[in-house]
Amino acid sequence: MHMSTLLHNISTYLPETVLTNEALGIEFNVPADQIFKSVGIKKRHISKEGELASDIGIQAVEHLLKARNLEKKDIDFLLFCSVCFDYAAPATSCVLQDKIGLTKHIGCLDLTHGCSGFVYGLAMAKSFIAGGLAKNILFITSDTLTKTIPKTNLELRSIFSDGASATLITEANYKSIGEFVFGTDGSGAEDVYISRSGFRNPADPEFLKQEHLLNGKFEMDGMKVFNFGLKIVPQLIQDILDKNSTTFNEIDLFVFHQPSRFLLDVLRKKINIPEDKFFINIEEHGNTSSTSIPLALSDAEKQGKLKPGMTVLLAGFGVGYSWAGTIIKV
Amino acid sequence: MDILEFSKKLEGEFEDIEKDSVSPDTVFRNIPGWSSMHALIIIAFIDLNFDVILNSADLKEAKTVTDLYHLATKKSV
Repeated sequence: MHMSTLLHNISTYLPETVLTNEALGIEFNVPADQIFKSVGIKKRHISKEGELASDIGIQAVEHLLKARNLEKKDIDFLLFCSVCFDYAAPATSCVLQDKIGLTKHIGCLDLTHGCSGFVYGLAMAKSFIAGGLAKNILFITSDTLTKTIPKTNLELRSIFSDGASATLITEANYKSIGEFVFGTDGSGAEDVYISRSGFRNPADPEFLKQEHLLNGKFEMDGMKVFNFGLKIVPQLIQDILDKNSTTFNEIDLFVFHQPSRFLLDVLRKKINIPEDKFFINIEEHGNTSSTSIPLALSDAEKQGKLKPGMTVLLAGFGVGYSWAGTIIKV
Repeated sequence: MDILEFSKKLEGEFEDIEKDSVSPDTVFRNIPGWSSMHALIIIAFIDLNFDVILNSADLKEAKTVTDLYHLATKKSV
């Protein structure tokens, strides 16, 4: 029973190459401690050239299968959450069915969300199991945002990072996932986005060459995104508590998407969350997009801050704008 | 919070700044080492103390610390 809890069915994978403040400092002729002061991040994980989100997603799955001694044949649905797909079509989850070696008798679905993506995936997995569509769902989050950032952009390179997670949601653990709250404001679509990455204003070879990019360019209006977080997150937290008929004090740990150290600190103060109940690990990893929450859960467990039986509030918010939250019993 | 307390507390939010270098008349963009991070610090400070979220247009409109104070107090009423 212990091994079937949600927390024990999460694995993560971080690319080996690390970008430190010292390395960024040399490249941009800026003191390393100044970079740390402005973003509160020590290092970021950088995927290799030619190593895609699907590739690092497979690594996370391999870790999970190994750690949990799982049989691939028991997985009957695959969800892949990313903003860095192999193709516009087919779905990358279809490509992954074959590469991971899953049975052909499974459903596959891609989910295009960043910061709110992990919570979205949990919601879909829970409803699929509750609705009888599947029994054992493999849910991957994976992004390689560092491939979308121009080399010359210090601000974005100092914040964003690559990483993947794999979570198994099963008939044995889906009931530990609570009720969900969702929110969307598409008017902010271009406040944080990968420009020239789709059919609208597609990238041409000259543009990509000029910016040293693969496909599309990450752009962010930092102030607008910061204000978005300040505006929606406090209400999101209240809505999650209300929807789950849970009081603030019943939450053992608050695990948010990790967008920036400063925003997290301000949100914690604004919502009056005690420091020991608010998990922050952005310092060690940077912003890993859809992988930030499972990575935080995994780190919190390793640090002894998260133990089986705890009640944890999850909140994802960002690109879209999109936000989502729930409560889980780990 | 009156304007003097506002000015003092805002100074406390900025690291690496000399004591008494922020006053109600200070043009905040002229604060030594001014960066976009300072703008976020101002937004966070006003939100946490007045429950008012200034946007970039508000900040553009303001020149001095007193202007920020007026924006914060006017909007929070």
